[in-house]
Amino acid sequence: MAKNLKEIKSIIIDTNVLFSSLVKEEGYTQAILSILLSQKDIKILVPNSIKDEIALHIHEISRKSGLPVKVVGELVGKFFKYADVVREEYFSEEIIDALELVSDKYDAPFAGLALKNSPSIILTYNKRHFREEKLNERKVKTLTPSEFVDYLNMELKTNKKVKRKQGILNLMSGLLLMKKAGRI
Amino acid sequence: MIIMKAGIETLELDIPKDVIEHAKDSGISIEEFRKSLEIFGTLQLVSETSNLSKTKANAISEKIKAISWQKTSKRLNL
Repeated sequence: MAKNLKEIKSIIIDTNVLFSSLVKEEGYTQAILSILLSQKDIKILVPNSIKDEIALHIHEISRKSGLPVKVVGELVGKFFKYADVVREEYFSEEIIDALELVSDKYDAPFAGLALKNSPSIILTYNKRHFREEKLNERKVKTLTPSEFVDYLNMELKTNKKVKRKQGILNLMSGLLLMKKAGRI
Repeated sequence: MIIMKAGIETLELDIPKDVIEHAKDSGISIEEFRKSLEIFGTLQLVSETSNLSKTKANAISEKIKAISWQKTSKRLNL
């Protein structure tokens, strides 16, 4: 397994994390997503078919969230502007491998993309869909957003010289504090 | 100053100097910081008026993944 975050260059965002960022009470998910999308040295990856399907469901997302179609469209556009969208043809062999590593076949493209870009992290709220131990053997970690923060913290304890990780955590705390103080 | 827009809502935000200095000291560039704040602010603005619950968010996510898988597996003969 990758020993530290410095080795990890790719983070695969599950759609449940993406949609959770539209939930009012999910400030934590919003902060993590904002920070990850703005990092120059970390690639945020999404399977191309997911991007296409989200685009086809903009009206449904708008109806269920009560948000105007235009706003949902802009937000989705912003996310995909900062993320790298990868066509499945580029990692089809890994998708086949991944079918053995997920309990829900619908998650195979996420696991396949993570395998293709390992060492990597899958950021998800449905960890039970992924066979963690098997994925770990292939240098892929599955973490929830809060576990991702714990992971950064743990790394700081083992490698105190890494200033940037502390920076990411400070930035996240800063964003949440600014929100709490009503400055955002 | 950062200007965040979400639909017709606009939010202007002055970043306090001490926050910028702190970010710089932590190895975060000002561009990364501005970008984080801009995305975070936009998500905050949008989610304030969103009716989406975590359950609904998860349901949409599962639906999109299922349809996406059906199309992908058919296209790639998986």
